[in-house]
Amino acid sequence: MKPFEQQTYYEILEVPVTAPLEEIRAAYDRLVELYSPDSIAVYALVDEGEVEGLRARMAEALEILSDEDLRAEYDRDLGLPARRLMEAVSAGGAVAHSDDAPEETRPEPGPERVGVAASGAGDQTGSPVTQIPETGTNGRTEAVREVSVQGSEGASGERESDEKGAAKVSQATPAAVTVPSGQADFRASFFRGFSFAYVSSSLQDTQSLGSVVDVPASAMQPAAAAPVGGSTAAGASVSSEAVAPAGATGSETAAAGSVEATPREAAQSQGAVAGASAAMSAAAAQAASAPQAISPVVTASATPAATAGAVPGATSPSAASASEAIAASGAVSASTPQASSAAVAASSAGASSASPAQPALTIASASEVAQPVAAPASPVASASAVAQPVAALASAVASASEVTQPVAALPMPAVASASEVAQPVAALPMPAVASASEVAQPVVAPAPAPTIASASGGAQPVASPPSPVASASEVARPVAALPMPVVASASEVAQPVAAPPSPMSAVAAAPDAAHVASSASPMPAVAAAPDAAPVAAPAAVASAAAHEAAPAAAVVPDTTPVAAPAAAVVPDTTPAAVPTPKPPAGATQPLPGTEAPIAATPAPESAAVVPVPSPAATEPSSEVARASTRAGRPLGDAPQIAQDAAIATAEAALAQVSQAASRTREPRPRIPDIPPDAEFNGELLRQVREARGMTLQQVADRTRISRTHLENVEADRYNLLPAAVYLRGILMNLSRELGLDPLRVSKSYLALASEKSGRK
Amino acid sequence: MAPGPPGLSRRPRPRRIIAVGGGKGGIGKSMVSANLGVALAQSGANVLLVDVDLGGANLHTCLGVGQPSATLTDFLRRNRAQIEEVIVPTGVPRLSLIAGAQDALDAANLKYAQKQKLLRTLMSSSADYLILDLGAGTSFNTIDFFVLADHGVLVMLPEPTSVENAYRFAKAAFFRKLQQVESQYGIEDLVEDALTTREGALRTLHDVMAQARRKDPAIAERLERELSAFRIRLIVNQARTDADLSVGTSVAAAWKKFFGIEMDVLGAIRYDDEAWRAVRKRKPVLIERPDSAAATAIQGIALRILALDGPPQRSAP
Repeated sequence: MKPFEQQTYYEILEVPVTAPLEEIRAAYDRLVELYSPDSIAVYALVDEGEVEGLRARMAEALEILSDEDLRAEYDRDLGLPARRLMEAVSAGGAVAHSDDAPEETRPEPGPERVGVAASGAGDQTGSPVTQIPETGTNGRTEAVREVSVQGSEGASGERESDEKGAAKVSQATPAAVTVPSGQADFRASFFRGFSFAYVSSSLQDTQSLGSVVDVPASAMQPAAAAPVGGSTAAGASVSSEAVAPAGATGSETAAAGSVEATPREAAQSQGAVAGASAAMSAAAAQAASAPQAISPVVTASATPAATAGAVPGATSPSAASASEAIAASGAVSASTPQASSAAVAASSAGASSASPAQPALTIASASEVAQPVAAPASPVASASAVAQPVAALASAVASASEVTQPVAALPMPAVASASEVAQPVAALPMPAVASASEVAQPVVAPAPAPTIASASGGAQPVASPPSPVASASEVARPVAALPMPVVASASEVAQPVAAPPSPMSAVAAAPDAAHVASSASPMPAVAAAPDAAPVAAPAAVASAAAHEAAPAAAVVPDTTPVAAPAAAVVPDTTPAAVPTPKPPAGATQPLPGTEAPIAATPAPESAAVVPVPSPAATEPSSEVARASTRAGRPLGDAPQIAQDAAIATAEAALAQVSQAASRTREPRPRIPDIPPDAEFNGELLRQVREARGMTLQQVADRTRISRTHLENVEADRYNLLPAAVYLRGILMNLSRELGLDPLRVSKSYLALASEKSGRK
Repeated sequence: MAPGPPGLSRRPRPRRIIAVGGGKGGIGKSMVSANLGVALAQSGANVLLVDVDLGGANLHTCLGVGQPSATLTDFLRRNRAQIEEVIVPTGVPRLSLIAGAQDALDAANLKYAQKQKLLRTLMSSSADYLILDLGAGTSFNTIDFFVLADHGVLVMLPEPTSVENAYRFAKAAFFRKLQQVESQYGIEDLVEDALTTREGALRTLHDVMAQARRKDPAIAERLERELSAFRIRLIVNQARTDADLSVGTSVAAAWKKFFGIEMDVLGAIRYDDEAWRAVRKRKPVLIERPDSAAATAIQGIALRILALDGPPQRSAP
C-alpha cells in the first residue's frame, strides 16, 4: 500500500481511470462522509492528522478530476491515454493510439517552448539532448531551454549546448516516464510556462519536477529555442537570434550538462545562456571549448540566479559571444546571483565592445547565470573584445570561457591563445577549476576565483593547479561578499598556485590569470605577473579580464573598467605580496600572502608594478562597490582596480576570520561566587545552573535525572522529593554537572530538606 | 479429519478454528459463539465449543449447560483429567463444549506451559469446527488464541467504544502475529519498536512494512503476503439503525484505506429483544427462537463461513 501522497487521484477516490464525472463526484461524497472527522469508522483508527491528510488529498483529487482540462493534463502526466481513447478501448472500441494523443499534447504546454524551438531549431542534437540525465530544477523550462539550445546550436558550441541541453532535457527524459508522483507531476505541469526564474534549488525538487517534464527529447528538439519561462522574451529573442550561435552555446551547455549529470540550474541557465550566446556568435567554436570548461563549472554551480541570468543572456543575440563567455564563465563558476550579475556585466561589457547593448545584455545575463565563471569569462571576453572587434569578441568570449574552463580549448586568435596559454594543462586545471568552482560556489567571490584559478592552473604546465586552484577558491571564498572575486581570485589563484609550484610558474600563473584575456605568452615568466601592470596592453587586458571577474558581481557594462580593475588587481596582489612575508595559506591573507611568494620571485618589476596599483588599492572597496557604477575608467586603471579588489577581498577575509576567532575565544560563563558557608538550597542551585548557561532540559539529559526531580530540587519542594538515599545521588550528580563540590552541595541540601520536613 | 493414504496415520486436527473476540466486554461474544456453534452444528458439521475466557467463562450459561464434572483448569493444572473428560455435551447434536464453569479462581493467570498445553490439546481435536470464545481485552492469553485461528472473528457494536477496542484488538493481533514470525523475517527490532509505542503514536502497519522493505525488500514481500493472509472477519452486533448496518463495511473500508489490509464483513446482527431474552433463559436463541432476526442473521453468518471454507470433508464423528 502506498502512502496517500504516492497514490494517484483515482486510487484515492477509488474510481477507475475511465470514471465519468458523476461517478467521481459520487465517490468523493461517499468517501468524504466516511472519513469525516466524526465518522465512527475512523474513530481511534489512526492519527487524526492522517485522516485529515486523506481528506485534503481527496478534495484535491476532486478538484483536479472534475475539471476537464486539468484532468486531461493529469492523465497525460500519468501516462494515460486520452480519456476518450480509454473509454473507447474500455467500450471495446478501436485500438487507442494512446501514444499519439499524449505525445501530441505534450509539447503543447509550453508555448514559449514551441516558439523557442521553432526559432532555435537548428541542428538538433537529439542524442545529446537525451543523454544527459540531468534533472533541472525547473524541469520543463530547462528542458525546453536545453532543447532550444541544442537546436540552435550551430558552431562548436554545439557540443556544449548539447550537453547543457541534454542535461536540462534529461529532466525531460525522466518525465517521459509515466511514473507519477502524480501530485508533483501535476503541479510541475503548471510551471511549464513559468519563467525559469522559478527554479527550486534543491535537488529533491528538481528530481520531482524533472519527472514532470515529460516532454520527450524528440519533442523538445524542435523547441530548441531559448529557455522557456520568464525569460520568454529573452528566449524568443534568443531563438530568433542566430540559431547557430545559440546552438553553439547550447552544445556547450549540453556538453557541460553531460559532464554534470546532475540537475543544475546554473547549468540550465547556462545552457540557456550558452545557447543564446552561441546563437549570438557564429564563431561558436570557442564556445565549444568553453562548454567543456563550463560543464564542470556548470555542475559545480547550480543556482537559480544563473538560470535567470542565462535567460536574459539568451535574449540578447548579439551578445552571443558574450553569452558564450558568460555561459562558460557561468558554468565554470558556482553561480551565485552576484556572480551572474557580474558575469552579466562582464558579458555586457564584452558584448558592448563587440556590439551594441544587446550583446552586452546577453552577456550580462549570461554572466549572471554563470556568475563565477562569467566573471572571469567576461573579463576575458571583455578583454578580448576590447582588443578586437567582433571577431575578437567571439574569441574573447571563447577565451573567457576557456579561461574559466581549463578544458576549453578555444582555437581563437589572441584571446584564444590567451586561453590556450591558460590551458596548456587544460585537462588538469579542469578538475581544479571544477573543484575551485565548487569550492567557491557558495560565494560570489569564489566564482571569479575559480575561473582565474583555472586560468592560472591552465597556465601552469605543472599539475599543481588543482590544489592551488582549489585553495585559491577557498581563499577567495571567505571574501565572498566582495564583488571583486574575480580579481581577488585571480590574485589568489595566482598565489596559491604559485606557492606550491615553483614561483616561476606561480608567477606565470598569476599573470596568466590576468593575461588570460591578453594572449600572454605561455612563458611562465616572472614577468607575467609584474608584466601585468607594466605591460599596458597585456596588463590592461589581463587586468581587464581579472577585473571582469571581479566586477562580475557588479554589472559593469564597460569592458574597460573591468579590464582595468583586473589588471590593477593583478599587479596589486603581487606588490602586496612583496611587502608581506610569505603568508601561510591563511585565508585572511589571501592576496597579500599568496602574492608574497609570487612577488618575491618576480623581478622588481612587480615592485614597480606594485607602486602603481598601490594607489589604486587605496580605494579597493570603493572600487569594488562601485564596480557596477564604474563606467569608462581608463584602461590604465586596471591595475589599480585589481588591487582594490584584491585588498577588499583580503580585508573581507580577514574580517571573517577574526570574527570566527573571537567567537571561539568566548570564555565559559563563570558561576557567581559562592561564599564558603552558603547553604545550598534549590534557588542557589538554579542560579548556578543559569550562570552556567544550561537549561533544565540540558541538565536532565546529561545527568539522566528526570526533569521533574530537578525541578522539585530547584523549587525546594522537599515533600515531593524522593527519599534521602536517592536524593543524595541526585544532588551529587547535579552538582558535578554544575561544577560544584558534590559532597558539600548534597550535605547542605539534605540538611535543609530534613530540617524543613522535620519541622512539618 | 481427512483420511490419509492407508497405512499412514494422520494427526487429527480441527478443520477450521474460529476465534471470536472483540476487545470489549459485553458485546455478545459468548452469545455469538454459542449460536454460531449451534448453526454450524445444525448444518451438519461437528463443532467443539471452547470457553477460553479463562477468568470470565459464560459459554455454558449461553448454552444452558449444567456444571461439568471436570473443568478446563482441572485439565490444565492437575493433569488429572484427559481432555475428553472435560468435554460436555450441550444437548445439540454434534455440538460439544469445553466449559470453564466453576473454574479455579485464578484460572485467568495461565502459566506459559499451561497455555502451550491447552493450545496443543485444542489443535489435536478432531472436530470440523473449533470455536474459541475469547475473553475481553488484548492480553496475550487472548490474542494468542486469536492469532492461531483460521477465522479470526471480531464482534463489534456500532458504538465508538466498541470500534475503538476492535481496532486496538486488530492491531494488537497483527503485531502479535509479527512477533511470532519476526524471527523468520529478522524484523525483531522493528516489531518491538512498533509494539512499544503508544497506540496513537504507533505508526501504521504500513510504516512497519515500509521499514521492513527498506531493510530487505524480499523479506518485506513475504511478510506482506503473510499478513494479508491474516484476514479478520467482522460481525456487527446490536445494530439499531440502517447506518449501523453499514458500520461493518465502513470499518473494513477504513482499515483497508489506512493499512492496506483486508477485512471481511460476515454480517450484521440487528438488535433483537429475543436475543437477550434467550440469554436470560439460558438458551441459545437459535433453538429458542430460530425465526427471530438475530437467529436469522447468525444463520446467515454461519452460511457465509461455510461458503468461505468450501464443501466440508466428511470427518469421523
